[in-house]
Amino acid sequence: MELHLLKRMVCWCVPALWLVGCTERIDIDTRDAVPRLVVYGCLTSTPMQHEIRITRSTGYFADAAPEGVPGAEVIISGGGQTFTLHADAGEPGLYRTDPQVFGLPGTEYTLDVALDVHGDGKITHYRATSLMPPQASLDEIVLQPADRMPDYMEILISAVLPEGGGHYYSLHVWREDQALTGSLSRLTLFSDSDFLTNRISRVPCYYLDQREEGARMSKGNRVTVALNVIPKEYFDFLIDGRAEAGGSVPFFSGPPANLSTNIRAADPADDTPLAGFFSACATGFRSVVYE
Amino acid sequence: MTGRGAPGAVISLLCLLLALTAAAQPKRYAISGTVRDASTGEDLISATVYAVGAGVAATNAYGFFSLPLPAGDYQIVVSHLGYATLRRQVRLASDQKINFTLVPQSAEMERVVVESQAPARNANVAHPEMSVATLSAATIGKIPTLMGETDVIKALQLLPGVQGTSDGSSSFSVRGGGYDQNLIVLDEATVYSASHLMGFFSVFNNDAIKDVKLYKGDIPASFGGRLSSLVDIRSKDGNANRFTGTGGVGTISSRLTLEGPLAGDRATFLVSGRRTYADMFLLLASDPDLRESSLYFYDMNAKLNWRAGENDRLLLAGYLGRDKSATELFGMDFGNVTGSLRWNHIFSPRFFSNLTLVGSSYDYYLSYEVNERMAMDWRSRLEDYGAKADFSYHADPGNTLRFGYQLTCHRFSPGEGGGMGENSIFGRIATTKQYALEQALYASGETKAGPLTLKYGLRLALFQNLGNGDTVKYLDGYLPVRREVYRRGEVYKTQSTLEPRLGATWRLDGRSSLKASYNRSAQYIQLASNSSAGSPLDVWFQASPNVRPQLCDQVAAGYFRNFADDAFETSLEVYYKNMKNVIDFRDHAQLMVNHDLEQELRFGRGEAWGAEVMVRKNTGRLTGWVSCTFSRSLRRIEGINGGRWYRSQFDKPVSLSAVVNYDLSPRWSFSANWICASGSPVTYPTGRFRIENTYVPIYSGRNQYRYPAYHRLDVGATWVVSKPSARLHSELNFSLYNAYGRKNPWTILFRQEDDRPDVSYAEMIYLFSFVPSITWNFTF
Repeated sequence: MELHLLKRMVCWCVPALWLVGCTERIDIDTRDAVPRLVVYGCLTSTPMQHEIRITRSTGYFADAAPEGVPGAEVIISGGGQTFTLHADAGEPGLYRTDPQVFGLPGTEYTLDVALDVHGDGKITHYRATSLMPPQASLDEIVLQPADRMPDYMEILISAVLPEGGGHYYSLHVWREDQALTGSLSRLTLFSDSDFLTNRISRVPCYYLDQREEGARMSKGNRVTVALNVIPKEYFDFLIDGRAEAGGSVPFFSGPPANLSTNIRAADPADDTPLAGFFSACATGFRSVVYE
Repeated sequence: MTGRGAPGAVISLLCLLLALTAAAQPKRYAISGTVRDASTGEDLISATVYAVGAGVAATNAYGFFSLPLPAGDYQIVVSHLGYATLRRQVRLASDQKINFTLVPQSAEMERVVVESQAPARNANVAHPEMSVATLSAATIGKIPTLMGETDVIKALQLLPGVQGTSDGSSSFSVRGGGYDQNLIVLDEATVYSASHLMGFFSVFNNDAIKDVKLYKGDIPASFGGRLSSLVDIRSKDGNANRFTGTGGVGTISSRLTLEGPLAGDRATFLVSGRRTYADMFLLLASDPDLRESSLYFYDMNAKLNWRAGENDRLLLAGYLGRDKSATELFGMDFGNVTGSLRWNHIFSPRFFSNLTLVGSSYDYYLSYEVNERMAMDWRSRLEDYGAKADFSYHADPGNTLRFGYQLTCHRFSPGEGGGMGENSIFGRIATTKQYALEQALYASGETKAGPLTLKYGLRLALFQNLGNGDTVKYLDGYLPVRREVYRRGEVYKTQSTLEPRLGATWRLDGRSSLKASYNRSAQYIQLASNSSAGSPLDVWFQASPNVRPQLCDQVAAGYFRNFADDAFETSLEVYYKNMKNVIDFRDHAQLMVNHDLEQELRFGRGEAWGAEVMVRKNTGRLTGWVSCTFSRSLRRIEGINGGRWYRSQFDKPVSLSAVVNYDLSPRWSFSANWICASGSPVTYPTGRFRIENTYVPIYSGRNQYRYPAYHRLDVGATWVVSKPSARLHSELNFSLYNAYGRKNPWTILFRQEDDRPDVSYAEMIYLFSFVPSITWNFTF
């Protein structure tokens, strides 16, 4: 958490910049990149219907959502189990497991996507593996007005994190059924290296902006929090993705760079450009009603 | 030519030069002394003392000169740009000490008196150094300013081969090098961060500065440790004639400098301070958090100059600068402290020495406190302590020998911090403190033979890592393969470099010359920064068993010619730089709070080449310069851009600048500068994919595209308010930065429309357009 906190601290400390800075929309002329095959999704330890999404990337200034890639055979296997994912009839490129599927912490899972990627009748396999980390126990969540920030409600969590440290976390929040962390910029991502102990008590982890209609809390509203323990590679993928999506500011950003991916072609001769990530995450949920 | 086992080379060269200079010595006597400003008593740097038909000498950084000549009668001409030339008849039958004083010359006087024979006027042609530019405080003071702040670094950015790293930034690149490859010294002390207010202003208060000299190449052997340039800044010694004050009240800051004599005429002092009040502008912000924030910087210079005797002089100089900014939740402050104590001693009229004790530090501090549980801070610090001994021996007007030794102790504390107070939920962490010794032994000489002047020098640089009782990791393929623990003070790695410096000047006639130079330089400490502009939170890190020193070989050649009785100086220089062990960082490198920083480094090569043309007019009512630079700067680093060559972030093929000052009358003067440069290289997104309801870019090759071209016009006018006879001299300076409101991109962000999230667009952030300012300046 500290790195992102430090960066945020610095950004707060340059108000002069924003006083004198102005913005203007401009036209940029670039050549579109060769489309990449994008595979993205995760398997969690919570019994549910899991999703893998397969799309093709577009030119940056394309005005449409990326097209889904239908016709793939998608399988997740590991720990003696095999989960076959089925194509969603309503959304091309979306593949779902059966309901109530879940993975086991400490198990390595492999995603296998078989696809006629070039439309020439030749099936190519793309694979990724991910080791599901140990689970955290989310014991309590507390909702209260944020100290010194009158426009915000804060969510505090108490949890027992996996022993030994060196683990990485993503935190998702729902108000009723509405996801408040539905984009990269809103995800809370942190590591446990900052904490003195693996038992954390009432640590502020998310702020609900009461000026936003979707986050405004009224008595009786239910808030649900998911604390995911995620592999470091996936943590880096999300952190880097958030940075790249947020844009480059000269003082605080390194050179732009493409995200790494753990999706690999089974055939080393296959040079199809790839992107995305498959991960296995250990998940814990808890809800609270605001009173 | 990495010099393992070559420490004797410098000493051998020194002995050879001594033998050569001593060999052909007819009986000579030396005219020696100092050259000073008649109005202030300040020593003049690079003033020329010319014995007509016999030889010429220039004053050094302390105003000292030595001109050994055979016995005889001589007409001595002493000159310096901006001063009336002084002539004196001297009969030389023994060593003579003569202190000259020159009277400052106004533009009006200059039009009447033209001293075409004065060597100072053709120093551009005659002086045996190239790739060098000197700016006086007066020249810098005439350049239009951003928000009324006269800025040394921004003035340097108008010179050929020098480029600002981003709009308004005080970071700069010289001949395609990185902004951490510039050695900036203030009175011999290294200034590690030359920026205030996130880089928009430099740390140097022009009122306290006497002279600024930029070496883009041909760096003297007495300086080293950076690949690209040396910026040698000398502060004023203090007025030796009377107590005076200089100050100003500007748009964002006020400043005051006091100086005068002490203890009769044996000592002088100078105290200078400056503070901004930018936080007042925050009160205009609509955001209440901003209104309650603070944002300011201050700096102070102090200097004591004591002439302890005929042959001894002590100079004690210090600088303290600090930036502070804070909101209710966050705080940040950072700054430099430098200090130097110098002892000039004249052993004989031909033998001058300077011993310097020096200290320098840079640190920053961050804090964050939502409440007592969510409270943390972070601090980082770099300290240098060192000594330097410089000697110069003037054998005859054509032969000068310089040699010396330099020792610097580095102490790096990259970071320490974490939770504040007993109730914080965060633990404390600290990155390993590192210690190193950097030493250099150097010698250089200068020999004249007819129209040819040769310069030659050698610097042996030595860098030693010292143990601290902590574990040192040895990497292979960027991964740790071995760990060793070294006790405190134990040398665990020594790296050295032999750095030759060569130069030649061939005077074609009195008005033109050809020059060439070669120098090798090595850099052992560098910034951990992969941003394009640099930030105050960047930390310096050292060469180590895993990090070899960066090396640069630079060759340059030039044609120099003056016109119209030396009123116009022109130059054409071409250069080529070959850089090895150049450092960049892996994609998405984490440079802050990283215990394993060295694993983020990637190494490779760099090349830069270019041509620089400059026309400069230093005299008359109309002064200024026009310069044009054609240059390229490329890198090839393992693991970056697929291992292929790519444009460095400082690659700007074309750059033009024009700086003009016109003295209309004794009361009114006008100035303008215009710069135009190719846009900075940039990596643009050329594709995108979506995860977590967020579009993530797919990028082009590294720096494959460019920002739109950069251009800007600044104008200024100065109106002398007071009458010439008034005790308080005051003037108003009006500046308009970016006069035609060019929207130069500071950065370009890529966003999605709020109501159509699948539609991406590019949005430019530009900082400064039409920035007017008024500054009231005064002297008494």
